[in-house]
Amino acid sequence: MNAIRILPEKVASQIAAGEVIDRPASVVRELIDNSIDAGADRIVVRIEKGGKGLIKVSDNGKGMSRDDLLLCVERHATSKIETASDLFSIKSLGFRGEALPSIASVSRMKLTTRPKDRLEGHRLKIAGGKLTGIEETGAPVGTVVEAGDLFFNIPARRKFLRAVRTETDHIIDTFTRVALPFPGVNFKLDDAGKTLMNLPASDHQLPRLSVLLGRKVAESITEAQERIHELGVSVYLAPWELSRTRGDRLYVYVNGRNIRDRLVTKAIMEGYGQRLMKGHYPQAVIFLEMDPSKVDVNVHPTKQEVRFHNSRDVFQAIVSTIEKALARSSNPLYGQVPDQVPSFVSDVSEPFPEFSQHVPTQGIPARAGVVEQPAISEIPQIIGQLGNTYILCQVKDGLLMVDQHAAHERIMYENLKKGFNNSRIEVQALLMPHKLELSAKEKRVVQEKGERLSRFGIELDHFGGNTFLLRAVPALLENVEWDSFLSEFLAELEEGEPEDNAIFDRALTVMACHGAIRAGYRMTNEEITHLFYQLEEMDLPTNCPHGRPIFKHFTYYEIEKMFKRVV
Amino acid sequence: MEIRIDREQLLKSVSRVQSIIERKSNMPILSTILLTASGKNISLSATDLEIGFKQTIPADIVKEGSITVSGRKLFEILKESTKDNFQIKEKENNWVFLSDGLARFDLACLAADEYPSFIEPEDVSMVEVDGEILSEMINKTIYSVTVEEAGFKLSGVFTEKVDNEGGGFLRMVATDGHRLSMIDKDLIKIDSLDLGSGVMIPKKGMSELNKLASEGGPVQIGFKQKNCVAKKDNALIVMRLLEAKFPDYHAVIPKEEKYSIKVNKISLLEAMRKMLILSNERYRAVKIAIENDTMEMVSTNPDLGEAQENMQVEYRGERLEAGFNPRYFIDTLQSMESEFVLLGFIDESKPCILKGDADKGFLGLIMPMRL
Repeated sequence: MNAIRILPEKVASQIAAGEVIDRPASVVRELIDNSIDAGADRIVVRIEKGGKGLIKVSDNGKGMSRDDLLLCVERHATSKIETASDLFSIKSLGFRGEALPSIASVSRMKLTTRPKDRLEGHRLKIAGGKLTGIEETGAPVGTVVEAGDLFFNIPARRKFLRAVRTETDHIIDTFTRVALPFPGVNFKLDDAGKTLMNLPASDHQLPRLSVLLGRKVAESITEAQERIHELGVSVYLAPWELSRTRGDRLYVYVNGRNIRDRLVTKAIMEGYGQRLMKGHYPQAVIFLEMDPSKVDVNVHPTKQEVRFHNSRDVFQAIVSTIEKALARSSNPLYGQVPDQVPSFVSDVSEPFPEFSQHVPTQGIPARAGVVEQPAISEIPQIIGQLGNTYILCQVKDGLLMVDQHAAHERIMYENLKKGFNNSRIEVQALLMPHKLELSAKEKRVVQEKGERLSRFGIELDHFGGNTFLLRAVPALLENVEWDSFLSEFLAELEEGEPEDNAIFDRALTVMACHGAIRAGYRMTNEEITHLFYQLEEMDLPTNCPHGRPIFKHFTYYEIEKMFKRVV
Repeated sequence: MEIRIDREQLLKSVSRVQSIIERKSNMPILSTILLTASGKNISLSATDLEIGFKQTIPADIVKEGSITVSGRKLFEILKESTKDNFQIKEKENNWVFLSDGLARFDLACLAADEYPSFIEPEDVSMVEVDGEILSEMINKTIYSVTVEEAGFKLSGVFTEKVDNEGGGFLRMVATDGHRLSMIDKDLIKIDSLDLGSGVMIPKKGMSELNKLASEGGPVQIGFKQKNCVAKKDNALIVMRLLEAKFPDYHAVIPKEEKYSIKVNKISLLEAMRKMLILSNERYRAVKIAIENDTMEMVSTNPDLGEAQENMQVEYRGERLEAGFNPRYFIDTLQSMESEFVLLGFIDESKPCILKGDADKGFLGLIMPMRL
């Protein structure tokens, strides 16, 4: 007997089904995708026992005729594409013609459908991929798909399903992800007769976002739309303060399709830049609209991965949209409480009251989108230093705490960076060269990448063996422990390509960190005032280059709550 | 303890120790002054544990004894009073009564026996120095000391004895790694100073010593067991020396300069002050170019603009160019007394040397910036 056999049709289709359908949530996603492709504006999902008992998706889409109904459960039968070339410009969510046959082969499925132009509908029954009947029936316009006893014929797979609670959570997650890009469609999710979610149709994204991210996050969101060439980018960004240690709140959509893509994630992180601490991810929703021919969605059966034809442009577009949106709202403690902005020095002085009285209060409409930020026209009143580490100040509406090291680090970083970009980091020669012992690895970095060092204003001469002489240093760096600084600095330079800006940034960050005043340094009031003036000139005065916050602001209201003056 | 004392005289001593007593110390006793009455004098002591100051003042002693009193409050009370006579009297339970005859103060104090004992090194061989000379030496070096930050090594003035034919001299050197200032002064009987291979006197101690010395008159100084002792009239300062090692500075002092340029000190100082106007954190270098009897100074700041000034000098050699931090020039020139200073150059990577006829024994070094 031959060792190699052709598998029976049934086994083959179950294997194929396993790629598309791995748990109840994927059934929900495939069926909702179909409903959306059918043009429905009302989709109701009903589940029982976490989808293991029943998944029922009803829509008011265009429905199917009897012939279509019979065909749709055949493998590779689809209304969505016709020719191979259509594969390269897919406008619908589905296209593989695999979802229904896959679901049919692993469940007991009933399909009830009526197109608009017919009086009667049809119901088709299929179990484990075997057609068990088709009959005429009365039905509303649209399609109802009921998939029961999921994996009843694949006990192994059924055994691997998780608890009802877990599978329900997966369904809820999938449901919200799929529903998000279609605010015009009413979505409803019921669990055994109990409504879990009801998303009414709306003109705007925000109500959906608050379901997805929570009301508090949604209220503080910064949104922006950009169109760069043929690429539309819409971003909904939560403030950096609400960043998380996992990337589970990053939602990315390409032409309405929820995807996971490392490139897009990287672009989002880059857009947030130094607002994020190392290892933190923001909460954000990104919609990309592009010519379907510019993106390949036929990468994986679950269609959660895509390939961009011009990934560099997509990357850049996302980064620049996010950077612009955040810059607009970032100065400082943006978003949540614009009237509590601790702006130190205002460049716009407030008008004298006697003049402002003559300004008609009506008749001059405020420019749309321009929000006048109330500025504090003086340095906050310095209360003092806490533990020689934090500066406490009184501002208009409460208390401002400033981390002195983080603040000075930001100033050092931007000063160094400006000097670096102008190729003018000022270099101070040392009177007595500092002798350094480098490790073999560090020595190699110095010898191979010495020209990089000089760009940073560091002059190292080889003195023999592993000993080097530090002859000149950036003038901005004072009171630095050179040994520990250089070993950290060289470690950053060691990596990457010569022109990789990220490396330079990290190296500048190390410089700034070592050059900045430390916690425990006692500052005079003049030094603090000077620090604030400098900070005011910074591009990103809210975070240190590592992403740690510089300020913490306590409003009188928050303080009053602490002392139970208000409850 | 009970005494009567001349208010002016007590005020002078109390105001001098204000910079020593700690205001924010976690040891409350260090914010107090210890007063001890015995014989015909009271002695007044203050310390921050690094520097100790003690002075004896004549007073009418009614009853001998010791008290501590808040240094800050005693100073304010003495300052506001206009009377000549002042009375201090110890009461029960560490209360102290103070009065100028009009106002009466009862102050709660700390027990005198809790005051840290003043360790006065014994058998220190002292040498007499002219106060003005000592003060000059301090003034011409102290500005080069690194701004004090916890754990930094160069935050003191290195003081050593240099042997020479026909007698030794006293040398003070200070540096922050970018510049160096050094001064040598002859000292009679310097041999009896126990300086070993040199000592590091902390910046704060140096400025206290300077206060004492700048009053003029002879000052006795001596060194023993990691301490520096200075005496003048009825006052005594003891300070702990820094443990840090001073780097070998000899190697950085150029053996000879290639060009020496004579410049009017005031003009150069004023020009540097003007150059400083355009400097900020990022850009602080001033570019000096010298040729054809002209010294040109240019300060360029991409954020702000440019400043330029020319000065007449005597120089006929090849064109010299170097960049410097103008603040370093200002610090050094300010401490100098000569009408004309000599700027010594070697090349654009070697330090600039500053000397002056009226600044005998002084040498200033400023490292260039890379242009």
